[in-house]
Amino acid sequence: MRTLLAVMRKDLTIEGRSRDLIPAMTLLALLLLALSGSAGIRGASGAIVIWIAVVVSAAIGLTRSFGQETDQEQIYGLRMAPVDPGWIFLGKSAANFLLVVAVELISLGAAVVFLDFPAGGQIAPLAGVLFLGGAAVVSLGTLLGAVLAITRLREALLPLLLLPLSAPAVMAASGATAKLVGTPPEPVTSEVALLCAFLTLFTALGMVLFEYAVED
Amino acid sequence: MAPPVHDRPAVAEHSGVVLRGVWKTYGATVALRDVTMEAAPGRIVALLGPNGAGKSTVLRVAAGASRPTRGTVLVDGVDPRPNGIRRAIGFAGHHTFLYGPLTAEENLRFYGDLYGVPSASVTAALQRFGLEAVRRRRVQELSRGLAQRVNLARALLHGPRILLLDEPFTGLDTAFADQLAAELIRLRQAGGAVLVATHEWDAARELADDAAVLVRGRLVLRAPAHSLARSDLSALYAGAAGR
Repeated sequence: MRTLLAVMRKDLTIEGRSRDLIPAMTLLALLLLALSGSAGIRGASGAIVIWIAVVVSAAIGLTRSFGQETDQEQIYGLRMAPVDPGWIFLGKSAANFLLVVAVELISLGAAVVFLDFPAGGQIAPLAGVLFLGGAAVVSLGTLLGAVLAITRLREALLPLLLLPLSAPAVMAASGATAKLVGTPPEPVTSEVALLCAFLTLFTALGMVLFEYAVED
Repeated sequence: MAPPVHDRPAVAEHSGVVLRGVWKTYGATVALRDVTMEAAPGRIVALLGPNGAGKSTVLRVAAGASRPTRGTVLVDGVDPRPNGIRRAIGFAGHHTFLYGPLTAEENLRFYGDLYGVPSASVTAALQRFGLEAVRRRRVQELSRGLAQRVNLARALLHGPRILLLDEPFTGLDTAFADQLAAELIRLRQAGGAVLVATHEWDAARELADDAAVLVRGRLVLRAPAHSLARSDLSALYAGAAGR
């Protein structure tokens, strides 16, 4: 747990000092939502736009997350440390998750403004789906980031792989989001089960494979 | 007539750093060719060779950061890649492993957390490496020499008994280079094993017990460091280049 906290604190401190990542992620999400609003998308159908905005923004954050581990080969410094590499993966995932949650909350607010998204009635379950979906996307993205960390094409490949591979989670999350704000709200058991399975699968894979992913 | 038999030197199995028949390839590029060598406890070994000879690759393989394509690497008798032996190894390479946006102290505290080093040891390392005045400066704002000191402080923070250093004297002023040499000698006296890749032949000759010369990924000479002259190295490099 100490490793998780150390890695998360380190990543958030670095991002806090750079002060450009959250604005870049947020700006892209806001642009997507505003353009969708101007194209006439309204109400519950805005759920898919929110999730596309989230996953595209997450791709930027995840690319950066491993970029900071490579300019001085810090990834090997992590690899050589006498800790379970799974905790390093979880630490990086946790930091990425917090960044994505920030973008999700901003995107949700922007969706209410631009898309008349009816978020008011189901705040607690909606927050649960946002967190679960965000965690699912981040678990996959952090694993991809680790695998691609030592490749030169990381910045190009990560979004290219993340967007299609996260499609099941994005579809489940957007489906659940739309159902929760529908009239009347519908149960989202199957979507939540799929998101839980996705999160569990890629978190477990990340914890096991991280060590090998960052090996030269 | 039978072909000449390559007389591979015997190496100790159980302690220090042992490489046995190690190959490392990157695609079509062969970085190491059948390298067999050791850095025994209580010895400082200078790893010499021209640019691109494979010195850094030997250190990375020995540190467990890189998997050998073929052959065996043992640190204190075990594979250095699994978790168990990593605490025994200190590594400082060309790249510092440091995070530019973090201060010198934050970097050391981060690695200290990973190695389970108490806070007091981080403070002591800052003092020992003359970094107190710059402890709150971001590493990206430090000079090459100061960043190298932080790098060395990071590598030695957890008190490793196996030390792998790649050009550690680069960027250091004379006083601190002397201090580093003293640190290495102390580690040797305490039974530690040190493998130093360097172009600084004079410093290496003064400090090292043994010299290992790599050319084009192949170990071409192992000898007591004091027996090797700069002209010998030049001849080895030139001979290999002409092949």
